[in-house]
Amino acid sequence: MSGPRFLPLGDSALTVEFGDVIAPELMQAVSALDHAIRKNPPKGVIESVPTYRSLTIHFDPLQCTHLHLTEHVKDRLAQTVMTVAQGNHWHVPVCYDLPYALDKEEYQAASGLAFDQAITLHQHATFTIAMFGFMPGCAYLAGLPRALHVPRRTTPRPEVPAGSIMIGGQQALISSVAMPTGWYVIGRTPVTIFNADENPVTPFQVGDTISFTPIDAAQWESAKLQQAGGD
Amino acid sequence: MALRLNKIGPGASLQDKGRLRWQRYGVSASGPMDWLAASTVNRIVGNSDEVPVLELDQMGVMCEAQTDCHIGVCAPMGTATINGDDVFPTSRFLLRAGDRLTLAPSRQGGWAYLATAGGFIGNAQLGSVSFHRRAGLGGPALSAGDCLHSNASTTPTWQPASYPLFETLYTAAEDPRLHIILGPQDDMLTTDSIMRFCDGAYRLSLQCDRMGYRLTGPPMQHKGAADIVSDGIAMGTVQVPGDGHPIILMADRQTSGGYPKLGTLITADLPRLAQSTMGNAALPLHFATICPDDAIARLKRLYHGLEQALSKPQQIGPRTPTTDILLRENLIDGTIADF
Repeated sequence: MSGPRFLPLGDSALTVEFGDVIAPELMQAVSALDHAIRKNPPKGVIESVPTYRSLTIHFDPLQCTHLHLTEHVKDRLAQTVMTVAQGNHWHVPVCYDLPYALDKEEYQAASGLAFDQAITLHQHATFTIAMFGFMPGCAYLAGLPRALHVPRRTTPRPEVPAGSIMIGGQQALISSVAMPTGWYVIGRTPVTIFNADENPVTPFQVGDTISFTPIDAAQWESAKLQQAGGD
Repeated sequence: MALRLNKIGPGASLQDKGRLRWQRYGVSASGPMDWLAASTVNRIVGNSDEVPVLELDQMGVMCEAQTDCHIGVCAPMGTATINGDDVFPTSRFLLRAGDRLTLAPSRQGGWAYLATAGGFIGNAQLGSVSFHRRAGLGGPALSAGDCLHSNASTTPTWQPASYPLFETLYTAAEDPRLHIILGPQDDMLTTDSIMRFCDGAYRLSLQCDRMGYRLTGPPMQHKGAADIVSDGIAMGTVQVPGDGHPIILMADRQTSGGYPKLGTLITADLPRLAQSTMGNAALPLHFATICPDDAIARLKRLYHGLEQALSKPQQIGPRTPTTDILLRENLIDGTIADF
């Protein structure tokens, strides 16, 4: 891989772009740089935000400049091999039945797959958490098998519930709060993905891997009740 | 202190510096729409920049002191009254129990700020009280009849004052254009489109809120696809979705976006954009491109201008009618005049 591009995002942020596609080696490069920046942040850096293919570094423009930061990042990248921390693997329970699989019919039509076939592929895939975005804790996943790729819905839904398991384009997603979406909802997890009053706010970290385990509606309900019990 | 909100708009909220360091989890940064006015209203009542202020939408606020309240207001080009009498809209004063205050921004879409010595008490979540309505973070949500309270442990010793020079930071900017740093995806838009964008082809629509300002004008042309693999966003980023209508992302913006980004407004010009008129009365927006070094130089000059403006308080009184009067009374020194 050739070196990244250093792109100003206004006067207070720098996007370090490793590529413009979804690919494991790009995510690893982003993750390694993110890790290095967080471990030893240059003066004036406020936070770094990883995406599939780039790391955006926000800074105080009175304490840091693009030029400074670019030099700093180049130095970091030149230092031997950047290590990627090994993430956790999560088994996330999902109910793929109605009413949780809101778009069962539409997804079948859009993908040309029988729904059973589609969810079998979905359960056997290993996904990587590439980034959080759109809403707090909303986890964007890489690793969606090609057969499951579909164009987004032409008409977005005004609101889908938290925990929705979604597919849009070549991406998969777990929603964390109720939100509007143009993606297909193929199931729902009873797991609470984001809670601002807990530490950590989400069990997941970028770089963690996920596989989905099917549960039925009764198991979904009892898992939800157990959580509400406050254990 | 206790301040009762008798009438307040649906877009009003408590805002502090925002939810920094949580964007990696998809949490919006939030914070004030106009950082300059929010920071100013805190400074004039003796607060640091970080403490929560009340941000008001176009409807403004009518409120009543329940006890003694040390209050600051900042509404660039807006209006403020105490018991029906005009006061300059960048001022600080003591309200006695029963005093009534009104405060409003002047323009469709502008924002006004109200602070109290010590800052308002709010519900902090993820290190900030900044209210993000959609995510349900911070707050509380405000409605008529609510009472705001101060965090102050001591009574401030300052005298009432007005800061008439403050507005010149908006009205007499060194260059009336709004400056953008191009990228990261300006190369996905046609050069003609970018030139039209800069040359006043766009105005603020009525679809403007804390999340973003949607512009109206001829659709911008993408050279090819209008989708990218999502990447980071900042305050003031101009995103151009498939329909070609640019959106400038503001305080409650999402943390990443999947449409090409033409560029990002510089920090020094964000306050002027935030206070611009929306809808039918909106004026064409003129943009110019700039490099990061010049953007920082402008930011430093703006801070210098702010120091100057705040160093020349006047006795509290009604709004000074025109800049001409300020000039006649020689209240504007060389630095500001150059500004």
